[in-house]
Amino acid sequence: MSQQVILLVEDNETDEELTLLALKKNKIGNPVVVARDGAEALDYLFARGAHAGRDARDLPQVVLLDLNLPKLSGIEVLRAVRADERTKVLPVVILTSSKEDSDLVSGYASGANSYIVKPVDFNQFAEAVRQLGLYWLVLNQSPPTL
Amino acid sequence: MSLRAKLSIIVGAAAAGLVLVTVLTALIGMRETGELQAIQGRLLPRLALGPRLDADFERLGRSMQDAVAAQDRQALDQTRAIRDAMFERIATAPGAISAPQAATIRQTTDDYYSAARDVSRRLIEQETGEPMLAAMAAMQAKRAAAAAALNQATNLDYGQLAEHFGAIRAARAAAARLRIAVSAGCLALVLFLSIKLSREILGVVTDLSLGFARFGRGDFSQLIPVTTEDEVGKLTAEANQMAERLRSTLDHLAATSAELTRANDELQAFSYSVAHDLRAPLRGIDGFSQALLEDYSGRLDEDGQRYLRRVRSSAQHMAQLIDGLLSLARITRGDLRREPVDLTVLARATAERLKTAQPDRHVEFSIQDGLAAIGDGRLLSIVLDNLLANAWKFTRNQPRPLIEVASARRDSQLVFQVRDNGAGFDMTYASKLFGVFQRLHTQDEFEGTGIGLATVQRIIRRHAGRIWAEGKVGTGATFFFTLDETEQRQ
Repeated sequence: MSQQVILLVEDNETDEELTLLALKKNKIGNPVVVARDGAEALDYLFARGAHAGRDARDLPQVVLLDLNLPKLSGIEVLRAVRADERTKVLPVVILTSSKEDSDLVSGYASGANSYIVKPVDFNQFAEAVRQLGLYWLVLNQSPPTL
Repeated sequence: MSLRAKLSIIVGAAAAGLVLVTVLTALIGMRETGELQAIQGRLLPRLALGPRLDADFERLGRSMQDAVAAQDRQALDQTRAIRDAMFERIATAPGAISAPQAATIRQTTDDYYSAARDVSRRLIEQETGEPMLAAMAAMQAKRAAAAAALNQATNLDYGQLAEHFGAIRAARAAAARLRIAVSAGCLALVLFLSIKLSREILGVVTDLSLGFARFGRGDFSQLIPVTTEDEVGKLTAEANQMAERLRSTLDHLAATSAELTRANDELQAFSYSVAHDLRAPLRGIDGFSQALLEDYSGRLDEDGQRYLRRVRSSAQHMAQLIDGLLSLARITRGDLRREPVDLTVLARATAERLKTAQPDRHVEFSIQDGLAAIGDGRLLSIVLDNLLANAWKFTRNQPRPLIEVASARRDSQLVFQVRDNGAGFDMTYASKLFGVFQRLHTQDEFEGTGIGLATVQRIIRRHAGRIWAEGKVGTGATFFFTLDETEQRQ
């Protein structure tokens, strides 16, 4: 069975590479698609714009969503995802460096499945990604594609 | 016209009416008294005098008859005394008989007496005949005239009496009418003026009260109309002035508040970007240093690896500084909650966390039971976290570390204290303890950010309390803090 894609929505190249490094260290081999901003993430998910040729029914296993993004913010992306029938139950994990309470509250209110603060300590970050991988890629049953 | 003047007019009108009624009553009373005096001075003496004069008159006639019967000339001469006594009685009762009547009585009585005496003398001399009979008849006529005069003078004149009493009654009735008229007039005037004044006052007071209600709601769009120039008018003008000042102050406040809100929003945005944007490069520094250490350690010698570890610990320290600054900024935001807080429970929880984080250390905690306070539990928890973490850290080189949390009353104020027997500090630098980034130890001696105590102080100040510390190098430190004393008593 081909492994499902992980959609990483991250504008910062350093954080992108660190995330990839952490995934690699945890032997998570799913292919990772990177979207640089919120608009691109939605284009990918709904198969439009640059991703128009893609089969929209082929949903990612999980979306790792940064909050502070150019164009559309992470919260706006999350709302759009939850508002669409096709992606209503898509697992979305918010990945951000902000500990601000307001982010946390609006993240959960918009239907995030989980919330991870990226620690500065890479070892802690790798550990957080490991747990994330275990939960969403191994333990959690993804909804069946239509 | 001032209210005082208007009130004076009303009181004056009432007083004038009262005075008028009093004067009228007195005047009518005087007239009554005059009539009564007329009755008492003239009619009543006459009533007493009449019978006496009649008796005198009778005695005079009888005495002369007795003298004739006794043929006594001397006795006849003595009858003159009776006549004199009668005249004396009239003279000593002035007013009872009017002067002309008195003169008539004297005249007719004298005529009669002279004639009667003459007849009596001739009878004693036994004179008879025609002239004698004529003299006797003339004497009888004179007696009748004198008796008539006497009768007329002493008879009570009922007509006159009735006239006097009638005058009194009329005077009384007139007085009563006048009193009623004057009283009613005054009452009407006073009532009219009072109602007019109270309507006027009620009107402006209603305006005032409506105006104050508007001002109270913060509606300054409409001032209170000033319709009078009296005290209420002045009050209204002052209220308007006050409202104007209040409005300008409120406008100023609103502007300041808006500015503050904007500044606060900017600060919040700044904090957010500090949190997000400053931490991202640190993650890169730390993450790639770690990647180098793990994946390329074979190509780095011991020094190179040590440098990379330094890079990592520096990045992590900076991350702690950012976190500390953020929490310091967060504390000044948001509402301060007021709830009962059990500091004993919070302190014990903190102690447990410290023990769990470093199970190899053996620190004795002495936490007093029932440390009750009123405040924001989340913030007070941060206070205890910082103070206990400091005590934990600075007792590191102490063979028998001891940390105490207790409270005591000092000058009727409840003071909480956290004491340790650790490294302590030099009191010379006590003032620097609570400054941001101020540290009394090097990073090598005791690690730290220099933000913890600044955070603690800010929380205590938000609770309207004070914080201070006492210490001695090598002996330990004690941190004291109070919370809003007025709330702690409730």
